[in-house]
Formats: sequence, C-alpha cells, structure tokens
Amino acid sequence: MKLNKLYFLNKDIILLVVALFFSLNLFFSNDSEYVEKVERKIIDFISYVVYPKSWYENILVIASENDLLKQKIIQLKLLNSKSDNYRVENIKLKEMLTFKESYPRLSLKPANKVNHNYSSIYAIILNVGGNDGIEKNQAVLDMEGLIGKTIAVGNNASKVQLITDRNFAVSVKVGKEMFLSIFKPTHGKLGYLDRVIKSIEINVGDIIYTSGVSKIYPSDLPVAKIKSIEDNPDKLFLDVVVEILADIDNLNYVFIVQ
Amino acid sequence: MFLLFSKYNNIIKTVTISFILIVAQSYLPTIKISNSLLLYSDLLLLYLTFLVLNEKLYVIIIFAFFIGVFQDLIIQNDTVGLNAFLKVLAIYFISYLNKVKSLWSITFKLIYLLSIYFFHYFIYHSIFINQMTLGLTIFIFLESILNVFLFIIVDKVIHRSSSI
Repeated sequence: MKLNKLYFLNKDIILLVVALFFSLNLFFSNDSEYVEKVERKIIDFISYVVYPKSWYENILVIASENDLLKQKIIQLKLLNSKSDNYRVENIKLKEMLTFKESYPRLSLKPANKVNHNYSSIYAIILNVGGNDGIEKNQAVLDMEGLIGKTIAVGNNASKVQLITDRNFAVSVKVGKEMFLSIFKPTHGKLGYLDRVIKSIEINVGDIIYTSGVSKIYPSDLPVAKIKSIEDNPDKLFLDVVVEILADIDNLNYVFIVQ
Repeated sequence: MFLLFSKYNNIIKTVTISFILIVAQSYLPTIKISNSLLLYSDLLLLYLTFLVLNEKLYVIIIFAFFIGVFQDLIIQNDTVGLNAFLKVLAIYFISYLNKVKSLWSITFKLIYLLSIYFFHYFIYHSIFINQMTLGLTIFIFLESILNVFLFIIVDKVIHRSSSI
C-alpha cells in the first residue's frame, strides 16, 4: 500500500529530475549574455506571477499603515490641543505677570481655582493655604477686579467668599470727589451702591474702586462699573446699579492680596 | 572477458555511433532559407529518439544528458547545459510514445513527435534570438518537419517502421 502511493518515484522520474537539475545548474553557471537573458526573463516571469501576492501584501501593509497613521493623527491632535492649552495658559500667565507688576505696592500671591465649593455657589476653593502664608480675610482679585475675600484657610487650600454673595459688602469710593459708598451684590454680576448722595457727579461707565477704609481690602482695587443711575425724587439717595468687573463665571487664575 | 565484453557491447556501440554522428553532423549538408537562416538536421536528437523508443528510458536519460553536454561543448560553449536540458526533456516526452504504441494512430504519433521537436527547437532558438517573429516560428516549424521527415526515412530504412 505504501509502495503504491510512491509509484511515481520510479527510476525514470528520479533520473529525469536529477538530469534536469544538473543541466540547469550547468546552464546557469555559464557567464554569457544568453544565460543573463534567460535569467532576466525568468525574473520577469516570477515577478509577473508573484505580482498579485505582493499586491495583496501591499494592500494589507497599506491598510495597517493607514490604521497606524490614524492613531498617530489622533495622538497629534491631542498633542496639538494640549499645546494650544499651554499657549493660552502662557498668555494668561503673562497677563497675570503684567497685572502683578502694575500693582507694585501690593504683595500678590497667585493662586489657582481648584473647584467650586459645592456647599455654596458663592464660594470657591483655591490651591493655596496657610503653608503659603495665606490668612483669613485677605482680598482676592483677578485681572479684571475684586472677586472676594478668604473666609477659611487650610494648610494647602483656602475658601473664598465671592463678591456675588448676598452677604458680601465692600467700601468703595465713587466719583471725582471720592465719596464713600458701600457696594452690595444683587443678582448675577449686578450690584448696587448704597447711600450715594444726589449731589455727587458720577456717570455711567465709571469704574468703582475700593476705598481702603477696610483693613481687608487695600485701596484702589477695581470693583465694578456703573451700569445705570436713577434719580428718584421720592428717595434721598441715587439708585446706582453697577456691574461687577471680575470674570466670576470663568475664574481660573487669581491673586490673593497679602 | 567475452562476457564482460558482451555486457558493455551495447554501451560501446552506442557511444561509437554517437561519436560518428557528432562528426557527421559537422559535414551534413544544410538547406539555406536566407543568409542567416540555415536548416540543420539534429542527428543526435534523431538517434536519441530511436534509442528511447527501443531502449530503457532511464539509461537513455543519462545518455541524453551526456550527449547534450558534449554537443554544447562542441557547438556553443557559452550555453553548456542547454542542449542537455532540452534533450533530456524531449526524450522523456518522446518516451510516452512507448506507452501509447498500440493506442494512437501513426499520424497522431508523428504529430506528437513533431510538436515535441518544435518545442525543443523553439526553446533552443529563443535563447539566442532577441525577438521571436512569425518568420522565425515558421523556420523552426520547417526545421521540426525536416527532422520528423528524416526520422520517418531512417525508421523505414533501418527499423522498417517498427520504432513508432
């Protein structure tokens, strides 16, 4: 049975294969133009036969390269957005540096908002605390203006009462006469000035600065901008509505006045 | 001594005939088709055809290989091995005629032989020719016909039409 399977391995076939092998070996061992021509033709033929296989392999390679490039594109996009964030942060930090230099008499400690204080929408947490020399009742401002004061200080974080808190009030000076008034918030970014006498000369768009009367807030920190002035004959004082200057909704980097 | 001689008698006879044929091949007349095309008859191929149709194949394969190499060395030593390859291959396919001796008609057998000769010469010439044209193909066909014709004549004269 086993021999039947190997019926084709007879003497004739073996000798044929051996003879063909040796004759081809002899032929291709010649160094002549005819042999080179045959070799070229064989190479062409093999490349022609193998072409579909190599084409298919190329397709597979291209497909895997494509996947790889897609991944790289995503990685580069992420890197690009990260770089963009760094660029924006850099611009903001440069602005902060300029802002700090514009108040040479104040000792400003830069801080970063960690997150909102979830117990109140009128308070935020900063990433600096007692270890950084922060104390309770220190003014906090951003590059636009006053945003509040520290009300609780931990070792590494502090809680800030925002200017929008209903219980917040700050002494400000109004008009050219530097008349003292009290700023109190109402809702959103709006607030009003308490006890502004009618004889004072103020205009819509005037900036209101801290008076410096309080020990907490140094003088001349921008607080708000006059939005409207109403002179009600039935009242003794003017109704002055102001808009808070600080960008309360997009707080990120702030300064603590030490 | 006699036994030893009788054992190698066939080999000596075959080698001697081959040698004579190689010498005769050089002096054989040719048919001139054009200035560059001359029709030759390959006596060694004819002799190998007779041998393979009458002797054992494996012996003739070895013999064809050495005859081919010898022919290459004499005719075209740039391509040693080419004639050996083509002759061995042709001989193997011609040997198929032994298997179908009683099945195929004589005409069909001659057509088969002609086609083998044609492919033998076609491959041989295509090595030396840069581009195969219709004229050259016809020339190769004529060369094959000449050889088949010679085979028929020799077969009738020597073997009395018993080889094929």
